[in-house]
Amino acid sequence: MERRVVITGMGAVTPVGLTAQETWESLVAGRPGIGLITRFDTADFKVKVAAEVKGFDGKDYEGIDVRHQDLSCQYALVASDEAWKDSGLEDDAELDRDRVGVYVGTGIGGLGSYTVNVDTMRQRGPRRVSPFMIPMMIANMPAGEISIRHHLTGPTLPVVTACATSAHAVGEAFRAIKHGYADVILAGGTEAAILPEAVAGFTNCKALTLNPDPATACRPFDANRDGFVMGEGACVLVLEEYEHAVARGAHIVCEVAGYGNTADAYHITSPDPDARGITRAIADAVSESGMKPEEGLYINAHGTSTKLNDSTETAGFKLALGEEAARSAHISSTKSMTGHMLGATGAVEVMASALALEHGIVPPTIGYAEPDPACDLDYTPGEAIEAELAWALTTNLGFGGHNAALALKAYKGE
Amino acid sequence: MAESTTFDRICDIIRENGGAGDVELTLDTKLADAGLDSLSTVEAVIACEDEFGIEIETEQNPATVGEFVELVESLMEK
Repeated sequence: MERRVVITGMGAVTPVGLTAQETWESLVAGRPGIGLITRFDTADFKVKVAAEVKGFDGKDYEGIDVRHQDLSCQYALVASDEAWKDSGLEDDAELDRDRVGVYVGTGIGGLGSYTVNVDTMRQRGPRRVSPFMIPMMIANMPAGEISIRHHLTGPTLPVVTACATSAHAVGEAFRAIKHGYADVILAGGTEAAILPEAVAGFTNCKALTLNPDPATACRPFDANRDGFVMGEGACVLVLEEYEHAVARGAHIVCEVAGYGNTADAYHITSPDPDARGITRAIADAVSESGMKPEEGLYINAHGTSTKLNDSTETAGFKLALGEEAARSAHISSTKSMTGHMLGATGAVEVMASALALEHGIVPPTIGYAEPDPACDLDYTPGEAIEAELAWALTTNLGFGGHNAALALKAYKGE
Repeated sequence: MAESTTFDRICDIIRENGGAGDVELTLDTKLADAGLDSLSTVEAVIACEDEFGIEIETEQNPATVGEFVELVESLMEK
């Protein structure tokens, strides 16, 4: 059984907005969310900048238990509430909740809750470790909490593939609906890892930029890029079977039409320099979508602003789409504004692409100043542009060699 | 007097651990009715160990506020 899948709801908590709409407006305006780290004292740290979520307090939201839910879980619940409400399913008395699933993952999980308890254990012994430590740190809990909150009793699948987490979550949700295992799935990801331990770890992996200037720290595809900027937040999308959405008169943002999931089998943190894994992921998504690469394509690239990622991805676009189609595509990295939201990034980028298709607007890559010969495509530098878009691709690559590509189609009312 | 003091201190701990809400706590109040699930009860028990300087076996999860008070007082007498 093959069915069509559409997006009918969106929710987001990001470094550039506390809702999906606010986030989209910031992306179109080219408003950056990167600043000096405020969560802890960075005096001993080489890394000084991050894209923090601003003005979020779980206590402001109904039903959030800030003592017993990790911040990553709080972000996910708030985003899922918004998406659920946006979809209109909240008020649907006919809804069969056994047919509604939750595919929400996280790259790192409740690290903040874990480290607090490690300190307690070391200082005061095992008896003082919180009974909530395990539920707060395990990476499946956002999916579990969302299903409990909205009483959704269909399939759950909390994906964990580092920076490809929520792209794979959306892709697997797409497949589950397409092949009949569910009618609706809340899909996405969350992250809250701007913590001293995670910043130190990523710094020593040589993944983060040491540039202390928030204005130039993240410059995807620029010749002088030198590492990513950690972000955080959550994004949850409502994926729904097309006939199910039409029957209830839902607002359809776009169609999800193709998905690729491949592994590099090369190195734990470096992408394959020959881009074989990401090329195959893109090719699989394109082929499943049936779209023509040269016609009205927007690519929301992973574009982390690391030396290797951006050149590898550029090579992958050319190999998978053909040199000419890659050159005619509008490309951007919205990470230039959101920072790298790790497990949440894929879903945020699907959301940005879906809204780009709906509004005919390509959000920009900000901070881009100097071209790199290894990155020679159209990255929409500086300012958003209007464009006739027929479809979009999003790509994400994660530590472990995980690759994800998703193809979205503009929805024109049929 | 000793009993009411222990009772008050335990009620404070239950409230600090997210229990009670709008429920008025009496010796007969079930912890579950005060909004403490099994994990929150363990959390309150651990907080009592600090508050009263005692050690409570986790197998002895009390069911009511009264049982909680009795448990703490019996251990304080030892």
